[in-house]
Amino acid sequence: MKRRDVLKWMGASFVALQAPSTFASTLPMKATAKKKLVWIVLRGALDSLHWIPPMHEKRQMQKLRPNLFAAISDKVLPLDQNFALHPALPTVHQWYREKQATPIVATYSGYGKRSHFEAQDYLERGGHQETNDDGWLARLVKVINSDSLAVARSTPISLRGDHDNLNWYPSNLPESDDGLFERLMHLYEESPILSERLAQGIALDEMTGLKRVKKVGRFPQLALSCGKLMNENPSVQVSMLELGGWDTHNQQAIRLSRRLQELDNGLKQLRIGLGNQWDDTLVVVATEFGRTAAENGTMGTDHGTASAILLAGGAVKGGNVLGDWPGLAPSNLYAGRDLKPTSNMYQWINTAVAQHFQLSDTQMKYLKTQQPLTDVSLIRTAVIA
Amino acid sequence: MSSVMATNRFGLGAKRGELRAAAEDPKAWVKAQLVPIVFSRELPSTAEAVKLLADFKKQKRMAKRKKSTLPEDFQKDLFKRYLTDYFQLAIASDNSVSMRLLRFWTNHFSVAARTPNMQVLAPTLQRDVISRHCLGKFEDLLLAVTQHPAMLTYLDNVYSIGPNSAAAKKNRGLNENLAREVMELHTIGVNGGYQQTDVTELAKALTGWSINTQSPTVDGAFQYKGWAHEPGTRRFRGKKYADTGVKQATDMLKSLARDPATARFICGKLVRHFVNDDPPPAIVNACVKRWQQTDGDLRAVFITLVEHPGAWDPKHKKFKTPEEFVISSFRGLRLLKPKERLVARGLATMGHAPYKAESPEGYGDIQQDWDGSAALMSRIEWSHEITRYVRKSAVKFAQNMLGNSVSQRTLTAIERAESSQQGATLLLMSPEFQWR
Repeated sequence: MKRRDVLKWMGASFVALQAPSTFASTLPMKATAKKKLVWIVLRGALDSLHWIPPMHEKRQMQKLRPNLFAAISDKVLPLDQNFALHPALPTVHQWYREKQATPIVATYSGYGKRSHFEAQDYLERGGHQETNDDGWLARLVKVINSDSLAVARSTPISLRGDHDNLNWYPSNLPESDDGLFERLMHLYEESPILSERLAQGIALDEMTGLKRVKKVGRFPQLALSCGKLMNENPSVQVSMLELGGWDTHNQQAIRLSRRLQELDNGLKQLRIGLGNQWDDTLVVVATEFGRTAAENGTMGTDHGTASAILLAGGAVKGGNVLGDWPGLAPSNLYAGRDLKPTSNMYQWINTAVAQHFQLSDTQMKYLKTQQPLTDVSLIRTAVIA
Repeated sequence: MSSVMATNRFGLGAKRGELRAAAEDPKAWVKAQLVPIVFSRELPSTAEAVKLLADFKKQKRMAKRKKSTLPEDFQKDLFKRYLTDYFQLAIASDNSVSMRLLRFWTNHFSVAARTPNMQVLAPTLQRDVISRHCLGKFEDLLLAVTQHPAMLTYLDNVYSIGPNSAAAKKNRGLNENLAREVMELHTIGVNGGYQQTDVTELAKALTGWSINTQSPTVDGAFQYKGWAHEPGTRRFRGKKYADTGVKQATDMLKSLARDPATARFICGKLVRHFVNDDPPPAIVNACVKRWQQTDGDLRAVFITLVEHPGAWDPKHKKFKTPEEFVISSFRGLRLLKPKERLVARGLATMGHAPYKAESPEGYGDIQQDWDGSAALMSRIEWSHEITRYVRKSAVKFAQNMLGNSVSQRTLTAIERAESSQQGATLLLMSPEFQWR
């Protein structure tokens, strides 16, 4: 029995995945059913002053972080008259000029302390600290009645909930024989978790055709696969990618330059993978908190408060930098040391998601992301098919 | 049934004969395994590793100056040898309960081997310090870990300089990474009661805690460098600490070790690790009580856990982490000296590569951290690869590994398998073997 046959044999629970695109092309679809969301979490707290430096604060920047600012100040990619992008982000810069990217500065998740791990949980739950282990993205998936995909070995908190999330991650081991999978399906008949995971695993391996990724785990390749999987499976409207390594307590200039380049390449590959679905895609890039405004004693920065988020994608009405700027003068810093948050990132994420998927107030309430919507238009007006 | 539990829930899975040995008195069998793990002296100790790295750096500098050939990197090979040694010890161990505790504490004090130097230093933390103290007092463990070069390097303390110290100069200063994680991850936990000022004060007290690269002793390679120490009295969590040099931060760490929040935080983690993702409060409370009676005697606390009837309740179960799965597979199948590549590549693909945790929090310890579909597919492929070497029927192995807890469904699947390889794969991937 081939893997594909195993899938058929397993029955109806994964209909959507087994029949890519056939349904989509024959049945009329609601315009919002084509909309895609890619949620990218940067774990470790990205320093927004290095990512989206405020060039109009040159004097403060030189004072607070002489080495870090000097490392990029004459190479940055300009955005508006105030802000610029780190030089390793040409793709994002290009999108910004195409009006497909919107950085939002001085935002935070509402989390006020400085623990990475607590802050990431907080971020993934939707900006609050409820102890039940489910994520805001899982609730969105339920509201729009979609399937979801995490490019990860196991489900991150964002996508934990009572729906069936798919996990895909490339493997570097030789493939097992197909007969084995059939026998395992029998073996797992009384173990719902294992049988469900196995079915998903087989289905996803079938679809990517990308199982043997050369350098396993590199972000651009994962992003490309993510885009392809979404492209081939219209039922997967929501997906999640994660990228770590942002906790730059030392040697920040060198480390961030490599990391941001990987992020930028990844975004580029994601777009390639998504193909013509890019136009219906909203990408949200977020990190758990920001870092200290001043550099520390080891050419890095310590844990802080406000950072930034990035909205991007063909669906985005971009080309401007949003968010109120609190200023970097000592009296403007949060607790005398961090960039001060002027807005909650979930105001912006909520607004973008509500506009993108055209969600009602009741639907938005279900997401439990709590923050009120802004009246800024973040998404291009939806074209009704 | 409970000998299966003794070997799987508390140990690293039964080797041949262990189920029988544990059958008479499973609890006594578990407690008798609390023997300190001793690593082979053939591989470099902490002090020797530090010396090797210092010599290597010197040679490299010399070679550059003379424009001669640079000495060859040795770190990666040594790292592999440390790992091979550890896995062979764990797979063959007659005291796998102690190995489990060693694993637990190594993950609690997680360090990552992301640089060549850390590849050499990280394993020595486990080999020299954690193995020596993880059945002793928590306070001693905490101090020894915090003074070890792997922790001092990984969390940046070796670069942290008191802004008003003799060593203070432009562009160098305080780094608060270690101070924060000691409180958040190693002792009182994130809700244990501390402010940003406490982080900064502890960071200042810790300045000067560094590595003796010139003449490390057999006891380790810690050196207090007074010239980098921030002078002055510190106010830490409501108490004053006079500038007593190295003793200043030592006293702060001791106060953290004795804090009731530390007992609660760590006992919760311990019960979560051994019993259930949702640690039953009754067991946690019993452990906390014992911790307080014994001033954090880790052996006594673990014995309390083992003696609690709730810890043996069959309704609790834990999904094995990849490392537990890999080691218990080799033990069960009697593959005692597996190739390094089978271990390393397998664990990397399952997302549990040794010393590669993404953050100082270490690897996750609940089912959802490990049970994704991609992770399951890697377990299947890995099982299929290692069972290539299995020549006997897996039915026999099933009896040795799982006794009478193996289900009829699994036995039938194994019996009907088309090869001994396939049968053994089905055994390893059976629900009974995936959970402990």
